[in-house]
Amino acid sequence: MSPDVWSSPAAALAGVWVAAGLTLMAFTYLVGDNPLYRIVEHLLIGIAAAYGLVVAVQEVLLPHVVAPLGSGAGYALLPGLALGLFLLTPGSARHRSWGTLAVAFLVGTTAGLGLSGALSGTLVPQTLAAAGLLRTEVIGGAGLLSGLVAVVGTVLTLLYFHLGERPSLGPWALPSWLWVGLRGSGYLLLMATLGGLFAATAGSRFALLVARLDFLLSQWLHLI
Amino acid sequence: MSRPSRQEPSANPLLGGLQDALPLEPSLELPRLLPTPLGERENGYLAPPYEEHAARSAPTPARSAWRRLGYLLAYLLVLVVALSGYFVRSGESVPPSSDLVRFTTFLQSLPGGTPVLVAVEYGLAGAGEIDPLLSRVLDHLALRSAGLLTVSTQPQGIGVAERMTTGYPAPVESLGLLPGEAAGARLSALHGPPVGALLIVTDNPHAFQVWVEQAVGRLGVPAAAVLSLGLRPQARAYEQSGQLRAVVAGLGAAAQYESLLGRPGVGRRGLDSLLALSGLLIGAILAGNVAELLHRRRAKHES
Repeated sequence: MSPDVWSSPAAALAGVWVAAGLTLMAFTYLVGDNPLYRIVEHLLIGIAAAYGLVVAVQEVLLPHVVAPLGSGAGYALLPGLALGLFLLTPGSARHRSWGTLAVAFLVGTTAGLGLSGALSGTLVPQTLAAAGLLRTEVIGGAGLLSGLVAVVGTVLTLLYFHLGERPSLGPWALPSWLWVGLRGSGYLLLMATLGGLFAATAGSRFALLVARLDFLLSQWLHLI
Repeated sequence: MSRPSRQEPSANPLLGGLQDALPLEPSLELPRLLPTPLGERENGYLAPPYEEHAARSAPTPARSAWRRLGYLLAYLLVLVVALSGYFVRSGESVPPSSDLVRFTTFLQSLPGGTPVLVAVEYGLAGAGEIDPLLSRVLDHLALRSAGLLTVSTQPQGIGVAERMTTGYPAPVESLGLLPGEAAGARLSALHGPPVGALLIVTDNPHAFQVWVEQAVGRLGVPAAAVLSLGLRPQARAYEQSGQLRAVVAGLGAAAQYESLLGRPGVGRRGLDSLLALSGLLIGAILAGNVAELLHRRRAKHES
C-alpha cells in the first residue's frame, strides 16, 4: 500500500474516528471494568510491544549491526553481537551461564556510567551551586535568604525523622516544647513538600484529561 | 557423606516438605486461615478486629448503590468543570512568566547555522501536556530558521519526534534510537555531530536525569528543557546551578507561549479548564479535611 493512502484526507478522518472511539472506550472504565476497556488495554499493550520491536529492528539492528557486518567493516561489533546472543541462552540449560556474562557486562557498564554521570552531572555541580548560594556578592540578599530557608528547612525535616531521645548537651537538655515545635515544623514542611508534588502530578493528569477533551471537542465533534 | 533423608509424607502430599512454597499473598489476605507462629490465644485477639473490618468493609446493596451514585456525580462534576473552560472563556491573553521570558531569550540567543539537538523522551501519556508546548517551541525555532537533530533513547520518542517535526520548515535530521539510556545519551554527546544547543523534552524523571548527567556537561553547549509540570521541581536545582539555561513546563507555559506568538491553540483553550479543575481539586481537599475533622470531633464526643 502506497504511503499516500495513509496521508489522504479519508485516512485522516478514519484515524480521528478510531482515536475518538478508543478514547471513549477507555473512559468507560469510569463505570467499572468492562470488555470495551479491556479491548483498548490489550490493543495498547500489543501495539506498544509491536512498535518497540519494529523500532529496535529498524533503528538499531539493521543500521548498526546488519549493515556494517554486511559491508565487511563491522568486525568491532562482533563482541557486542556475541554478548547480545548470550542473552538468549537462558532458554538452554547447558549454556545458561553464558547469559550471566552478558548481564554482568550490562550491569557493570550501566553502574559505571550512572556513577560517573551522577558525580560529574549532579553531585559536583550541585555542591558547587549550593556553596555559591551562600555568597551574597554572587546572588544578592534574596538568594542568601533562599539558601538559608533551604538549609533550615532541610534540618527541620531531618529532625522530624529523629526518633530517639530529646538531644541534650551535658546538663542542658533541649526544652520539651522546643523539641516538639521543631519536629512539628519539620512535619509541616514535609507535608507542604508532598502537597506540592501531589499538586504538580494532579495538574499533569488534569492536562491529559483536558487534552483528550480538546481532541474530542475540536477534531472529532468540531464544536470549537 | 550421608545422603539427605527422604521427606516424610505429610497430610498434604503435594506440598509435603515444601515450606514457603505458597506465595505470600494468601498469608496476607487470609491471616486466620493459615497456621501462624501465633498461638490460638493470639489468633483470638486478632480475630475480632479482622472480622469487624471485613463486616464493615463488605458493601451492602444500598451502600453500593449510593457509592456508585456518588462516583457518577463526581465524574459528572469533573466533566462539567473541565468543559466549563471551553464555553466560559476569559478570552484574555496570558502574560508570559519569568520562566518563559528566560526560555525565549535563550532561543533568541542561539547561534545561527548550527542545529539544535532535541532529545524527545516522552510518549503518548505525556503528549497531552507536552505536545502543545513543544509545538510552540518548534514554531519559535522555525522563526529562527534553526535546523533540528532529533534523538531518543526510547522507541516511542522516535515516533513522537517524527510526528512533531512533520512540516517543520528548516532541515530536520533524525539520529534515531540510541538504546542503553545513559550509554545512548553519552554516545550522542561524545560522538554526535556538532550542535548549537541541547533541548531536553520529557515527562520522564529518569530520562531527564540521564540527559542532564550524561550529555549537558559533555556537549559543552547551552541546554534547556521542555518538561511536564510534574518534573518542574526536579529541574529547578539544575536551573539554579546553571546547567540548564531555561526551563518551561506544562500547559500553562504552552498558553503563555501561544499568547506570545499570537497563535492560539490547545494550551490557551485548555488553560481555563485546567484552572477550573485545579479549583475543584482544592475544594475537594478542603471539603474532605473539614469532613474528617467533623467526623473525628463527633467520634471523640461519642466516646
